[in-house]
Amino acid sequence: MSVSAEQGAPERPSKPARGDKVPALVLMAVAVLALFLAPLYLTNEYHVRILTLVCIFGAASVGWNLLGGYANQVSLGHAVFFGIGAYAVVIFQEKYELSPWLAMPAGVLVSVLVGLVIGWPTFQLSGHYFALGTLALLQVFHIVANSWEGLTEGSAGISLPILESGIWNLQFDGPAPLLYISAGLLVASLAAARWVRYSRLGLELDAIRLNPQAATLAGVDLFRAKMKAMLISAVIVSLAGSVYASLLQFLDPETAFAWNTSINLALFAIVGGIRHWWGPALGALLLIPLAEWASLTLTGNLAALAQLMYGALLVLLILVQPRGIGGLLDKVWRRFTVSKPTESKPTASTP
Amino acid sequence: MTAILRLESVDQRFGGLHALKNVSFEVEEGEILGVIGPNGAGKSTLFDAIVGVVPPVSGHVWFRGEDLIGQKVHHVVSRGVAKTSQTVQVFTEMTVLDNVAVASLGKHKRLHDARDAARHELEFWGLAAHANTQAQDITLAQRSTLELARAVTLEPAVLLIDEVMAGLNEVEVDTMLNRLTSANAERNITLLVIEHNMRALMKISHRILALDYGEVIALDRPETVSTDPRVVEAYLGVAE
Repeated sequence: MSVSAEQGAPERPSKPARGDKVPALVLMAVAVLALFLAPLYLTNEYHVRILTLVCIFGAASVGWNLLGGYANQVSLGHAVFFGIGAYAVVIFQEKYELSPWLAMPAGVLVSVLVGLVIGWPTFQLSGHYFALGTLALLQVFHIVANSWEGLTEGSAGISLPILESGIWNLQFDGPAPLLYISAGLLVASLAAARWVRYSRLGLELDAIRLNPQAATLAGVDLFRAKMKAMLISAVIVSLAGSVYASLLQFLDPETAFAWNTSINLALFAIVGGIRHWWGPALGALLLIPLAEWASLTLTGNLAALAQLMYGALLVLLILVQPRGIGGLLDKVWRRFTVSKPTESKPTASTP
Repeated sequence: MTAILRLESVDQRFGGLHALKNVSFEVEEGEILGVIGPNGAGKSTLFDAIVGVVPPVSGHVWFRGEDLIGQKVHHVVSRGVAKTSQTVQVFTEMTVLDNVAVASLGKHKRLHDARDAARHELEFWGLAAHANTQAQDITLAQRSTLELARAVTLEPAVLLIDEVMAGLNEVEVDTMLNRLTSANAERNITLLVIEHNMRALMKISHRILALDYGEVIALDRPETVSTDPRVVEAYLGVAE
């Protein structure tokens, strides 16, 4: 860029579009390395398990964020994809003795088809109505899983038989291998989320998030962009559900299609920061151990207190920093890099 | 001159309010058509109806032999009819460059090419120095200009501009007029311009369309319309 600043506003030095994202990438690489070394240092199996949960739900939340965060289409129905991925594994393994590795693509395929069907009616809704519409669909899947006993064994659930341990059956003697698989999934999800963020789809989704009407006037096909995000996100969440089923070795409709899962996916993303590809993973990394710690230390009569504290903490965070930790970092970053124009800032233009 | 846009009996109702009454007129290719009328006359409603932001209850909008009514907004835009909004609508938490790049995605498959085209567009509008600034950090005048830049990047044949000069000072208005006339002449964009700044509008318009209570009350050359008794009455009111 050779054009000199013609107005009074000093310009920050022009930099490549991804310039300020490099620190995030380096930090992420360090975090991933720590994750892979963790089992060597963590002697407590319970800690490894928590870390595994962080990876699984972190990955799912990263997937949720493509639609819920990037495009601000807050879905409360994403547990549908999680449940489908999970059921694919237990049904394949228990009924047909087929490997989870074969179940995963099947789960992904069903999730994508369901995503296509869900997207069509729900994308006609906006804002809270979209959230409620997707939540209603989750209830539908919950009911179907309870009633279709031939496939899911209903509310009794499916326990996986003990098979030869190894990678093929995703049954292991120790907790470390599944942590590695979960970490692999998380890394792949982050890579996909980062790729989307800086692609043309990412720009379209950003436009939709900031101002849907201006986006259509700029020629963006809202339905198409949202559908693409929905499908990529369905794939990721479905895979996370599959790994979760392998971790539990058991599944019932309550676990598979839990509205709690939907809420958590949204929550991790919001706490971590929805504008960033890494935000949801950060949210999961903070909140899952926190919730586990609270439920461990506060037992008996205090158990309710743990829930209460957790809730209060979240409310506080949303009030103080509605854009999550990522938003906070943005603010700090902007303070150091942007000098405001000398004249008073014009009033906000958002309608 | 041939008509590039032809409105045929466009009617719009909001509950009991008859916002557009049987509006029919033609826009000639290459002209700048000023649209005037008192507050609530239906000017923005007319623009919203043409691009399909709020489709009319009946009527047709013919553009190059194709009816735009019933088409989605992004289809209308890709056909070649774009619009800017009355309240400035930019993507605030996005760089100035990307604000424009979004609109050039239709013409360029690769994001990199879209950004290059956007950079080129920003130079035309004098915003190149702010390319990497977030749109929320530039002035109101710059944001109005940015919204225009975004619309023009779509390479429309017809551009509907809804009050882009509101809140601009005299100097900024003159700059804007120059850019509008050059967009019209050099880039061959037919313009429909809603504007309360009469002096500015009379200066650049080839013809003026006057609306009152959702009806077309005059469509003629600026000097003729400004002395039309019905237009004067609509603006000033007439003693009984």
